[in-house]
Amino acid sequence: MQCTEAQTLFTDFADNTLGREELHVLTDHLLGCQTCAKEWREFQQILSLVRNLETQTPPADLLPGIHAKLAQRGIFDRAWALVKSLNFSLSIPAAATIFTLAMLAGFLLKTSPLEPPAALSSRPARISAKSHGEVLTPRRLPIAPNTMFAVSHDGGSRNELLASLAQTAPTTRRPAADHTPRLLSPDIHVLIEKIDHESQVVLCREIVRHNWQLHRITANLFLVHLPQAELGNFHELLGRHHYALAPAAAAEARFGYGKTVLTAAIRFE
Amino acid sequence: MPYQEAAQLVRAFRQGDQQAFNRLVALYQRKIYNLALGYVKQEDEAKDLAQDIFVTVFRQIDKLKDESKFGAWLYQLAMNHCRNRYQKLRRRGFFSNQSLDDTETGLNLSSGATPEKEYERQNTSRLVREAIASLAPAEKEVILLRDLQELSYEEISEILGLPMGTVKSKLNRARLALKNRLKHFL
Repeated sequence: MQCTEAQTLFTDFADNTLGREELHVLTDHLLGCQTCAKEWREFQQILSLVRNLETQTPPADLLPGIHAKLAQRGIFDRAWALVKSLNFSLSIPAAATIFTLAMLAGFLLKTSPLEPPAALSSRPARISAKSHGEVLTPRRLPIAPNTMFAVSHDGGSRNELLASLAQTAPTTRRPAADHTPRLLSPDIHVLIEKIDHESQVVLCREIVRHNWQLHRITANLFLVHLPQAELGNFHELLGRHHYALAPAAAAEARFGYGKTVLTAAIRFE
Repeated sequence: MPYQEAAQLVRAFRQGDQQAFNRLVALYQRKIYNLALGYVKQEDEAKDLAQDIFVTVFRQIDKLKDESKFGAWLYQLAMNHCRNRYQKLRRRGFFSNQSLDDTETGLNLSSGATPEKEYERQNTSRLVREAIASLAPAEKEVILLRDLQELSYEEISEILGLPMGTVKSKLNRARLALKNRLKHFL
């Protein structure tokens, strides 16, 4: 018997499952081969170690954990069963396409508050001051669409703001020290042309007199917060100047209905 | 007989007795937990794995055709879970991050044992477990089922879906591989 052949019988030898003939041949080989005899002794020792390994006690929270997992998956199963029970007449690809289109439309509506330029709009622009007003094209907007501004909550000190209006050099308003700035994006864009500095100051004073918050972004760019209910008054104030605004719907007093406060960006040119 | 008890519990569980499921868990949790521990080596993973195995038992008990074969069916489920978890953990590098020290536990003195002897015993157990865990999955499975779970060749053959001769030859190779890894510690 070869050594390799003898070692293939170790497991049967250890388990007492060898036939009489094989048993004789193997024991004869082990008596005459010191290498295989040593291998056999080590084999037995290792086997003894493995078989005498103590089993470990499972953690006490094994069963509660099983119930927790079952409860968790039960909720998911019920939800999935409900979905499966709905008899959709659409195929999955069709449903996925509709869902994607709906998401895309929602995203576009949310991120594009501006109406199309007048040249492309099928609806004529209605401006409160028809003799002066026009609809702004995106290129002429006071600021880029969806621009976000960090402003203080209260618009800062009015006296400080009005004092800064008297300066000719552009200055940047610092947010009030005690308030965390908030980010906002204008609902209405207004461009006032051919207005001198004195008229700008008068207009700003009127805005402050209406108790609308006024933020000076640059020397000729302002943000105004006004209650939606006072949009008509805002139009009246603008009507004293040559102005244009966007979107066209902002010329309606009902524009932004549902919002408490509107934000208008005003640029002087 | 545990097999008869298990069959009765399975029958009761199928008839809606939730307590029967708890008793089934109590009957097999030690074996399944130690099987999982032998496979993944880490106690938290072994607990999670054992729980997942019993959750599958709960959900798929209707697929068991013969109640008297519950034990073999349970081990088949358990081996599938262990293989999948092992593959997942290995892909994450779970085993390569573990060192020998990770599994070293504190010295628990049993009554009458000296610290030296107890340390030696626990250290040897740790090394043997490490060596088993380091075997190839096919070798590890037969060692776990035969030498730690003490299942018969017939049962192992049924669980692994292999002829008995193949099981024996795999087991012999696995034991020789284990001996080669551990002979320096003898």
